[in-house]
Amino acid sequence: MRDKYALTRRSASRLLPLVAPPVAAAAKEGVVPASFLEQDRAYFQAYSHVGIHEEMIKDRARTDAYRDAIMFHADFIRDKVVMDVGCGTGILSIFCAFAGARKVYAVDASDIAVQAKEVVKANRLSDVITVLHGRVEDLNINEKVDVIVSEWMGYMLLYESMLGSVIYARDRWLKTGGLMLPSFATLYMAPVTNAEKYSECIDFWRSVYGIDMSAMLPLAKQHSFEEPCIENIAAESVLSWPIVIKQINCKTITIAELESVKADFSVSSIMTAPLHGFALWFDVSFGTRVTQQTDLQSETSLGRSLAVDHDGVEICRSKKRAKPSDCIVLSTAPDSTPTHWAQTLLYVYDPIEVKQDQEISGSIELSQSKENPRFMNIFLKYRSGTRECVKESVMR
Amino acid sequence: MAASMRPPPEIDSDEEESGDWEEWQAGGPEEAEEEEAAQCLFCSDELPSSKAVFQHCAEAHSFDFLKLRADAGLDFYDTLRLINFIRSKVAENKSWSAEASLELQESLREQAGLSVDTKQKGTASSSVPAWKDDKFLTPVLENDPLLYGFDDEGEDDDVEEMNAVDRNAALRELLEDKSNSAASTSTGLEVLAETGTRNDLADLTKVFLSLGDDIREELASPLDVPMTADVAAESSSNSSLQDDGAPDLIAVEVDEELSVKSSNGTEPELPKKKGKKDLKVTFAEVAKREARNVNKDYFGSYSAFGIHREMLSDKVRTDAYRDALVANPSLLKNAVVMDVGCGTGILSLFAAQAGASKVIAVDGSSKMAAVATEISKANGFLKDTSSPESSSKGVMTVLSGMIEELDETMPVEVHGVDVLVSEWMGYCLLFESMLPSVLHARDRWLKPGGAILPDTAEMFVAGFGKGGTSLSFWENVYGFNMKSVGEEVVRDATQAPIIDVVDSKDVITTSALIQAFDLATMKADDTDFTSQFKLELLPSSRDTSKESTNEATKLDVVWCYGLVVWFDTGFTERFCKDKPVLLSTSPHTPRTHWSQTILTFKEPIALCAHDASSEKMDKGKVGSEGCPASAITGRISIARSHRHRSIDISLETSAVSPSNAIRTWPVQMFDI
Repeated sequence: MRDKYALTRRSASRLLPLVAPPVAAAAKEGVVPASFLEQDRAYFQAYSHVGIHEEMIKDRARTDAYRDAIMFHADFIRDKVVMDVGCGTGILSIFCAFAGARKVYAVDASDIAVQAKEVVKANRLSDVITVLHGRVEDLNINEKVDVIVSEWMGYMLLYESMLGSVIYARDRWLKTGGLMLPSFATLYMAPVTNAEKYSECIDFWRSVYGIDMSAMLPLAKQHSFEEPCIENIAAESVLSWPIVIKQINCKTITIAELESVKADFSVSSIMTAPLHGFALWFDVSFGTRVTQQTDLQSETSLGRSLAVDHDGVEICRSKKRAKPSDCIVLSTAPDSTPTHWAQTLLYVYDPIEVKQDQEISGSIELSQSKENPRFMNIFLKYRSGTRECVKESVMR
Repeated sequence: MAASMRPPPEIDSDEEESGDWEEWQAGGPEEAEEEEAAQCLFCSDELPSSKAVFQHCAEAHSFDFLKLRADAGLDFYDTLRLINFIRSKVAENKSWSAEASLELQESLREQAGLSVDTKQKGTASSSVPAWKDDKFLTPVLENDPLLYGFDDEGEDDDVEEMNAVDRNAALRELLEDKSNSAASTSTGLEVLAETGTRNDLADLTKVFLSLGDDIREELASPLDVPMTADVAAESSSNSSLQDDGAPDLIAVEVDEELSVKSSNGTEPELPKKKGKKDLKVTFAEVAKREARNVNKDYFGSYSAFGIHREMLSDKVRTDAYRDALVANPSLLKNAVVMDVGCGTGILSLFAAQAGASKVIAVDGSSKMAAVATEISKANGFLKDTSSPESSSKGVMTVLSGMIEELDETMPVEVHGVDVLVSEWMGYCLLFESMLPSVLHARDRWLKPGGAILPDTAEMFVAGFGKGGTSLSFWENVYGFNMKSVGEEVVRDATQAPIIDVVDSKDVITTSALIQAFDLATMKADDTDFTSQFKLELLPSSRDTSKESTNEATKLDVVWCYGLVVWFDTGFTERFCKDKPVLLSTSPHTPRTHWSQTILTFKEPIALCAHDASSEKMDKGKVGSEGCPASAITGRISIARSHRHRSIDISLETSAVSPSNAIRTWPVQMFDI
């Protein structure tokens, strides 16, 4: 029996087998050529459940941003060849067809591709859009493409993301000077206070119908805070300027860069409040970077990697200033329209009381799990005042 | 979802007739280990043991099964498939000759080269050999000793021990499947012979006539295996008649011959029976083990924190129990109360608050029992075991374990409980329900005439309209038509029930009671039931849904997309004299964590109101737009599944036209 709402993007991954074959190793040795690995199969099967697609399409912030971005680039897209990596129900491909694309290759490995074909047919776009049911890595397309569009972002940007497939498609088919949509992605983190959630999780048990159930507290804490939570947090709960953890230029990023992402941080709290944890979110932008940014920081500069932090903060501040006409941004920040990605919250077991302007520092590392490459290990070190803690968790 | 759990009675004792118990016990393990005669894979020779059969296959048929198996690295299931594959091919004589067996051997050797790879990929290989089909997991010969006999040698003990569990569990399941669907899997001669109806015999005759001469001869040989003796007997008569080529006649003759055979057929029966007995010894154990494993998962999941939070936060549920317990002092005052599946213990604490003199809380999860103990202590309700009379408030005892196994530690006499309370209800009332444990507790511990809370449970169905589906959403997505996706969603839903809330306004028909349980008297078997229902369009739904495009008739047609199932449980005035309470999970009452259960039709049914039925409308099939139905009738069956704690639902629906024409759709099975 299936709960209609139980199958969200996140829980899709929970359908994956827990013990997975060593994908990378097997693939390198060429032992498993064209056929799916079990794990992939489960992943794609999960995505063939329509519930997920309903959730994603109903996420207007997401779908609107893509539609706007595609229409914004209609001049570039007109009469060009587009590839939609992970097309789902095919909606982005249809947007591209409406923007005047000559040809759209819509690729999806999950069974939803069957529906995408029907949808394309029902909207009489079969002559423009070709739906291909299979993994991008197994495709044979004999022409280069001008545009790659993909909605590849996962929770925390990188969890279960399809970016690897997008990179593969880019390296194999994108023309020089082609367009990547989205073009840039940035992952942020900020310390947060969330008294409401804390009390909802903890204080609930102090009186249930007048009965003291504090005995449930250890379980409650473990259940509520052990694993990352996907939830929307109010902008007022954010304790500092966001920290940039990773910036991605979709035209140049490599898979190796994504294996482990690490950042140190040091921010000061803008208010006096208990620190309950850290929130992670991302934004992606479509097309050329905001002009003043490119002026400030040459993209090709060798000093780029050193300047990343500065650059990132700039992006995040200028985002608010950027007019939609400059650059279309899909943001999943706490102060943006809520999306199905919400924010990813890493709660600490015991809150730290921080004063205004008190420093909160530490480091965070996100890396692919050895247990299952689709899992993500999160290693967070944080200190404030006299307290210094480490929190390790796995996003399954 | 029921609060916390108790196991049902062991499923083995549940499912098997009690007479067999003695057989199992009398049989004992020695007999089970006795070597059993088995039939050769290729010919009808019977050999004293599985080992001998494999040896014979190697010598007489150049088919060294054990070596091939080892070389190809076949696992347990593959081996089962292979044995059944060969048996079915030999039975069908599709391509079973020496060459075919060579081909198979070839393919197995090929696999041997790749066996490491295969293991890694699981079933991912692109070219799957025919014998790999899961249908070959179903035994072709009933009680085929070869299926147990293939790894008598070679493997080291550890591995074997481990495999034994899997293997037996798997075999049990497979055999169960087989007995459920013997008719549909009648590829093997033996199955046909056993079912023994005229039709089957006609088929059998055909199958037999298609057999190659050599095999026919072999089947006819006097050394035949007892199990196939019937077939063999026929075969001789058939071969003599074959030239006449009158299949009907043959069928009749065979029928007669067979009936004679089976009436004197005590001789062949004997060895078969013994085989069955052996199996049952194994299966009884396996069933027990399986039940335990499933229970382990079950109780494991109920220790999960989130569920308790969800249930306690379900105000409708918790309020109903609180009212039933706290607002009925004449029932609870000084009563001895038992709470089956206590979870956090909240119901027990309500009972203690209400003045019970003794509360026994039981939970199958030791973790939850520990939590309940803590909680009752923190609230001053835990009985102080060191000095029993010390605290007037301490009335509660928490026990961890299966209610069926707690006789020793139960601090109350048999039939010493005044009030038995439990929140046992699962989705669709019966899915994952712990009702059997509650009934066990009732029969063993409740006083005659004692109260059971809740004491009634009723199940209802009603039809829902388009709003109960996601079709409307998919019809217009950003201006694009994605109808096909919506249809796919609906197609999915025709096989698996969906647990979701149906809005009251989407219920478009009257509702019908499909089952009423009286908890005070019902038996566990009563949960398997079949019920008829009749549903008519609600007058109100005509005004709200204007979906008709039928200009000619100007009738408001409303489409019914499926049935919503829900339940009510009652704490009636039979026991709750001060304040009866009804806990309803209906679409018309505030939602609960049970939501409703949605069964979607394969095809929506058009309905119109009864008063419009005077107009003659018969342009098309009943239930279509041209001829909307005035009522939906049907039959719903709910039965415990062979999977522990699960249920199967089957649904047959008919549309009835105003002129009483009826159109019936094929039965839908909902797999949970």
